[in-house]
Amino acid sequence: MMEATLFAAAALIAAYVLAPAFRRMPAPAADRRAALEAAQRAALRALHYLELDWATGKLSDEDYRAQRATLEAETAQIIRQIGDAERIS
Amino acid sequence: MGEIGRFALLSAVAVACYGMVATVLGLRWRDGGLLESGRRAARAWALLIALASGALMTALLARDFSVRFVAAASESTQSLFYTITAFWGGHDGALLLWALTLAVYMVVGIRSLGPHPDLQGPATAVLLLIAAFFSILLVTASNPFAPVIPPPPDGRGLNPLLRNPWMAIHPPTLYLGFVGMSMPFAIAVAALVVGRLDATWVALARRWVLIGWMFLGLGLLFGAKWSYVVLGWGGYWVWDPVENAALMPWLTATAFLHSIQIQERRGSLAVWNVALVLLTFGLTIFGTFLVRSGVLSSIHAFAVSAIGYIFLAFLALLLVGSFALLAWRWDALKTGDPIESVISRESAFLANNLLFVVAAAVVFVGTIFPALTEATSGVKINVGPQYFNLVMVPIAVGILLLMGIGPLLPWRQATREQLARNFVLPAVTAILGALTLAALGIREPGPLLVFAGALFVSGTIVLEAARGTRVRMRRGEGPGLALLRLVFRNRRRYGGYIVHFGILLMLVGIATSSAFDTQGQATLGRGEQFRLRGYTFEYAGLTGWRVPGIEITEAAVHVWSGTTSLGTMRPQRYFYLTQGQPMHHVAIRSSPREDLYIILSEWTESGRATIRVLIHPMVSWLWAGGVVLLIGALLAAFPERQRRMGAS
Repeated sequence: MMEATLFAAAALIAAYVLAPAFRRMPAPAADRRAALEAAQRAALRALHYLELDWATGKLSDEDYRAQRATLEAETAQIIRQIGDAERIS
Repeated sequence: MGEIGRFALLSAVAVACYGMVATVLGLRWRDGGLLESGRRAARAWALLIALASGALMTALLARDFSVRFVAAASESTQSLFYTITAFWGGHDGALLLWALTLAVYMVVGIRSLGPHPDLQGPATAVLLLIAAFFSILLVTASNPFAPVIPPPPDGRGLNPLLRNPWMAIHPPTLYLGFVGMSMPFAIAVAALVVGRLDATWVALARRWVLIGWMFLGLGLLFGAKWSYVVLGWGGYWVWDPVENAALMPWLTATAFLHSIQIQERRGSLAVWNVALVLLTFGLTIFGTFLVRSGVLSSIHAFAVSAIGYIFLAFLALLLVGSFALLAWRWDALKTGDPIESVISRESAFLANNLLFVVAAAVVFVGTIFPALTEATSGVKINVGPQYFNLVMVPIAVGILLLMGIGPLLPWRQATREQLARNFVLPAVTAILGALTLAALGIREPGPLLVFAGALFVSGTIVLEAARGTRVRMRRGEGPGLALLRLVFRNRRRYGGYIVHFGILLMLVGIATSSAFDTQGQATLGRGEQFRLRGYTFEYAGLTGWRVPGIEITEAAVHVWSGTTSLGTMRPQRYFYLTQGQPMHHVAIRSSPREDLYIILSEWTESGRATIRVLIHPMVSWLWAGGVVLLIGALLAAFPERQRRMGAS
């Protein structure tokens, strides 16, 4: 009885694991949008903490403006790329 | 149960090997069906390992001594609690727990990679390779379901040293840390394979390393607590190889958690960060080799077997393969901005990284030194705690200073005015504090440097929190609400500060308890007293009784601080009948100021007893620091709300 139960369990597992292997489907492509969104999150976080650093006096006004301009340009570029990716999909 | 367990483990081997091959072929042929089949194999493997674990637990609870592991790790008089924890009280069960932990990580980890299908495939293959390795070990050299013929009438019982609640949670926590590092390893290898170490890899690797790091830290702390309450020598850390095995990956993971911020912000150090992840995982496997091989003697090595060298071969395969991949992608990874100024946050993080890696290297050399000397000269030479203390204290002080300096420096560069504005107050606080302590009689350079460093770092944390709170108060928030919102809306940063504060508490606890402990011993008759550092200890007699499998002897000791009674402390000595092994059950009275630690060393038929007393100042700060560290790590691991960030 035990052997039969274990045999049935093995057959069930094999069927579950092997079933998709007989289906022909292409591998999913790299999700460019997910990568861009991660980059956007990182850029927004950097902007957020830059602002906090400036407000708490860790940065001079000059350095703040320069770094903010760079980060904003990077963020804008990422947002444009996300828009492009959306249009393509 | 043995039959079900053996079936589950054999099936797990087949499923893991198949899944790995299917995934690799799926990646090569770009076949989505095979990739899905590989993912299903990973889920099936996890299910089979859970089934095997359930079978072993059932065998333990049913006291099925026909299973060799059950006969070795439990006995009929063992309590339910320690029958359950016996699961990881022996080598084979511990390895199964390892596999079970990997199963949980694998299911959650592969699922979490769903939005990144290009990383998901290679990461699945790497995780299935690790799964296959553990499964093969579990059906060959470390089979927990191996039978005993004929079954003994009773088991040998769990090692008495392991019959402690801290040991019940220490191994699972440590494994969550060790095995947790397999996820960032798999993601790093996947990112190297597809050549994509961008913001996605940074976010994923950081999250998984943080989880593993948190559990590894907790595991280390629980192990130290176990050592403190069980081993009866009053200490919690002795630079034992097994302790070092867990410390090394924790150090490299800590380095990674700092340097990944440079990659995130400046795009540089990608090679270094990947190398740290690969090294951290390699060190977890090396740690297992140390624990399991018996190549180095350890107070923590309860489950030694010949499989240690198999781990070493597996480690070599993983490290050679993954570092070859890193070398292959070397040029593509050299990106990002160069460091502009020595006085910047990235420079401070870089310096802290170097110190953490040097610390890991120092521990590594000190740990393997006996094995090296034995291999070269035939004589095992231990470097001893003196080596570690001599080298690690200056490194710890350096890290402590950088802990205060780094967070207050801006990215890119700092001006002289900013330095003065940020550091004068904490530095003056530290100097005044150190002078006050020196005037009070604390002159030893090590502890004094640690106290001054702790004051400096505390000063920078308080200053940072005060300035942030003031900024929020300008918006009309009250001070309490402003501080709370500051912390919860900047979780990564303030979680990090809370972690730093926890580390400070721990360092102060370690420095104080190591430098200023006092101990004494006396053999007393009933009603006799002895005095130690303002305390009076009066021995009030012995009592003894028996519970199943154990003879217990207890001394009653009345304690006074000056003329104030602190009550009665009761150190015990357990004698485990099956194992013929005595064990101390120390009596500890803990307060933020100091721990009173009493050991019943020995006694005579006439009722005289030898009582050993240790007074450890501020040990509880170490444990409290661990709790603070955990809170900070949880806060830092919790994702920040993007909407509010964007709005700011």
